[in-house]
Amino acid sequence: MSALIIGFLIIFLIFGAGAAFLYSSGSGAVSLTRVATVGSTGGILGSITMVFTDTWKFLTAALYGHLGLYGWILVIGVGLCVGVWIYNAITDASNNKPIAFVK
Amino acid sequence: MMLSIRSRTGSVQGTSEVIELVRRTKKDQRKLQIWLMVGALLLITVGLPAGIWAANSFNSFLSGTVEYSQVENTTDFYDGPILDDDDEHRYASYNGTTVTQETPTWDVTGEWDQVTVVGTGSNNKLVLNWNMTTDDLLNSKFSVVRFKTNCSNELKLTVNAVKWDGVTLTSVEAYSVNHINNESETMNWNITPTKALELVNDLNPAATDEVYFQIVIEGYDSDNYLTVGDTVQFQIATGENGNVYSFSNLQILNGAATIFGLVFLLFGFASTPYWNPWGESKKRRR
Repeated sequence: MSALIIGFLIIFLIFGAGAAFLYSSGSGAVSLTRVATVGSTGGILGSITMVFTDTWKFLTAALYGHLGLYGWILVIGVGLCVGVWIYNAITDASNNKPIAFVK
Repeated sequence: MMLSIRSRTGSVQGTSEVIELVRRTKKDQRKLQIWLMVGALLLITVGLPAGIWAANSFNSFLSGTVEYSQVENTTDFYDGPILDDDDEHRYASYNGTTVTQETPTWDVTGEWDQVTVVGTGSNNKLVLNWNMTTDDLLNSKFSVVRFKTNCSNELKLTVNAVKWDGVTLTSVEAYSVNHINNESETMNWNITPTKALELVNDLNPAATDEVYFQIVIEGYDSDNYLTVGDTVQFQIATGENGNVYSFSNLQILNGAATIFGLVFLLFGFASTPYWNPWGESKKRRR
């Protein structure tokens, strides 16, 4: 898998999950189709934006292991954000009830 | 049973007021989540590129002066193939079909090293194999490589990072200047940490590959092609910050990766119910 494809996948995942979560956190009925549409649009726009910045090189280099321990801290940090966003989005889309900040 | 709750002011509220309070609290929580989300997205789209830009500029910011050391000894050049063949040269010319050994003269003046092309053919490329791997570059403190040329022909300069696996020579362009005037010219290749990292990524050499840089000097167009007898004066020098507090390219990138990694970890945790400083401080205020 080339660095370009890995870069696109990372960014697509981040922005797709982010946009999906952002959308599903809003008011009104949540449809999975709409979440997917907004997520994909966010992913594509995010990919275009990021591929032309150093962030993409940085993230792919971290994934390749060229940045060592410090790169993995970055990957795990970004991964945790993405994981939580996806988990929140799925929970919210299915129950309309986010996991975070529920006492 | 009647549901009631004691408010901050001490008054007792009924069921509808409790429902309203829960609804408002949930709304606040959603608002906070959205803010965290927007914050994290901004961090990735704006914060991280800005941080990397700042990290790239860090060494220049620290440096007062750049100290140059010339690349000119035999050990500074690598005895490797020019093309996909077994011919190994430190310096050679290539006319499209034949590789010819060239012999530079070092320090013909204080400023210039010099090659008089011996390779025949109408369009020679002068190739200098620089003994530097992409990993060396990433670990180095170079912020600039300075090239000087002086020739009666107009020239083109290209620097390629190459790897030789014993069969194929793979090359990635690192720096190029398309048009150099036929007079004394100075060109600076400003190396950013991310550029060094990009070269390591793009070349992606195996542990057994030989890695070096090829500096290629050729004529700008058909009126300026390098032919036998043409003399090219050149100087190659690496520039490092004189400041003792400067860092290597890799150290700068690792610093940025650690800082942003920790910030993303905080954002990630803040998006879960396990740790929520804002919520906790709200609780304490009550």
